[in-house]
This record gives sequence, structure tokens and C-alpha cells, in this order.
Amino acid sequence: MTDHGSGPARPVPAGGRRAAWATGARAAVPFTVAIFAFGISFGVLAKGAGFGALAATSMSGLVFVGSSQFAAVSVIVNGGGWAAAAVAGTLLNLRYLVMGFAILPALRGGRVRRAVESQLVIEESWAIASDADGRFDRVRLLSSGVVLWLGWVLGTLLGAIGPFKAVDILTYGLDAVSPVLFFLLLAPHLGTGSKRTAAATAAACAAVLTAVAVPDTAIAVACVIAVVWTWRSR
Amino acid sequence: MSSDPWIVVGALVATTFLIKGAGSLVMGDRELPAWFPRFVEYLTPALLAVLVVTQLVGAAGAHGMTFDARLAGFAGALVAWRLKAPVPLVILVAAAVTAGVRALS
Repeated sequence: MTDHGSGPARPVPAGGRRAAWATGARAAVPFTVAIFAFGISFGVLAKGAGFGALAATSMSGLVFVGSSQFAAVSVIVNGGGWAAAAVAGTLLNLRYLVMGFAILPALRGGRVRRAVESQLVIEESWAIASDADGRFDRVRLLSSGVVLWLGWVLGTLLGAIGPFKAVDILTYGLDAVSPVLFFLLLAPHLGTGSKRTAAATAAACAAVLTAVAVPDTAIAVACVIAVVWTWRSR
Repeated sequence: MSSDPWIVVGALVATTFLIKGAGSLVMGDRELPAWFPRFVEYLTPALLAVLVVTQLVGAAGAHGMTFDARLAGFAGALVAWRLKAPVPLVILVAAAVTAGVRALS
């Protein structure tokens, strides 16, 4: 602690922005390790679903939502059509409508620039950018978002061009990775009793619908459950 | 494979861009309805729970539920998760247990 530059009315020093970039990037590193591994599994799954390395990597670079991409590709793996796959992926993106609105006051520039910057919003970068007072830091969003994005895209590329084949997925038990990843994504959303009952009800419906061989309809049932729980919580 | 992967990529890229960018692109200064954040709060766990189940007991081309080594791998991963193992380790446990049970059976 030196005496110069410690006054309360001091303007933000030139190093402040760089420090915020470093803070965001550093905070993103542990998440990026997990996301890199997640990206590899996505690349392998996408390859098994008939996606080329370019298609899988483009999807990761431009969508940048693991749960949504996994959902879309899983629908195809389970024999669904492209429309069902796109709808499943889109529904899992709806939460970004809420997060995108929350972070909007922190972004700068015109509509298009803010819309492009919003693409770096995922749960991790959103959380890293959030301040305790409910506001958001644009630099931390962008710096953590870029680090996470690199991990996700490079992981996908490695999974898609790596030595894994479709039959390897069974041999190495990689078909169990996808339900576990969805569970890991689900766990932070079970904070309240009503969310847990909504999730449990949806899981039970999905089991019944899988048993009667119409698993694709479970996505629609999840929407109905969300409507009912929203209405009940008024 | 009847579905064209690029169609899925294109459709999802377009909807994701619009959803993530909706704040500045579509809504301008208007506010989302008050019920919408609550709806999404419930939609996300409900959808993810559906995906856990369909990925765990569903299978391509199978009618009805398929119980196989994935269940053992999932159980092992749950134990690792309860023990606060880091995410890559939880995933490794899931794959290793599933592969092990499958190799033995």
C-alpha cells in the first residue's frame, strides 16, 4: 500500500481495466478446465451423431451453450429430426433471455455490438461478471467469456477430430457422460423445494414417456410443468 | 443419418443469437413480463431433469427403457459428486465405471 493514488476521489487508473481483464480471465480458468473436458465429450457425441468436425466446432463457436448443444445432438442420436433437435436446444437457451436482460445495462455501444457482446454470456461468465450489489462488470464478462469460449471450442475440436469412434463411445463408457453432465448442470438449479419438485415431476414424466417409447414428447411436458409451477408460485 | 447436421447448427445458431441478443435487439427499452424469469427458473431444471432421464434410460432405436451399464456409471458419478470431486473427475468416474461394468458383463 503506497501513499500515491489512494485518495477517495481518484479516477480509475489506467491499469484498472487491465486488472479487471486479468481478474476475469483468472476466475474463468478452473471452469475452463471442466468446460474443455465437457467440450471433448460434446465433440465425440457430435461425431457419433454424424456431425463433421467443422460442423461441431462451428456449433460450439457460435452457440456456446453446452446444455443446448448436447440436447440438440442427443435428440438426433436418439433418432429425432432436425426440427425437434433445434427446438430442444432453443428451449434450453431461454434462460439466457433473463440473464441477457440482467446484464444489458453493463454493456456498451449500439444494438448490434451489445447483442454480439451478449453472446459471451453463459452461467460461468455471468456469475464471474456479477458484483455483490447486483450490477455487472463488462470487462470481467468479456475476459472470462473469451477464456471459457476458447476452452469449449478447442475441446470440441479435439473431441471431433480425436481418435474416438462411435464404437469407442460404448467401450469407454462415454455414453454415461451425457446424463451425468446434464445432472451436473441440473444440480445448481435445485436450490428451492419447488424447483426440486418440478425437476422430480419432469423426471418421472420422462421415465414414463421413455417407457412408452415417445421420449421426444417429454420436452413439451417439461414446458407444461414449468407453466404449472410458475402459476402455482404466484 | 437422415438429419442434416448443418441445418441443426444453422437453426440453433440463429435462435441462440436472437435469444442472447434479445435484450438489445428485440425488446429495446421494454421490460420482460414479471412472470417470465420465474417460468425460466422452473423450465431449466425441468428440462435438464428430462434430459438426465432420457439420456440415462433411452437408446437410439429402442422402444421402452434400456437398463444397462450406464446406470452403474451414473451411480458412481453421483457418489463422486456427493464427495465433492471436481467435475472432470466426476465425468471420469462415470465413464470408467460404465466401461468396467460393460467389460465384465
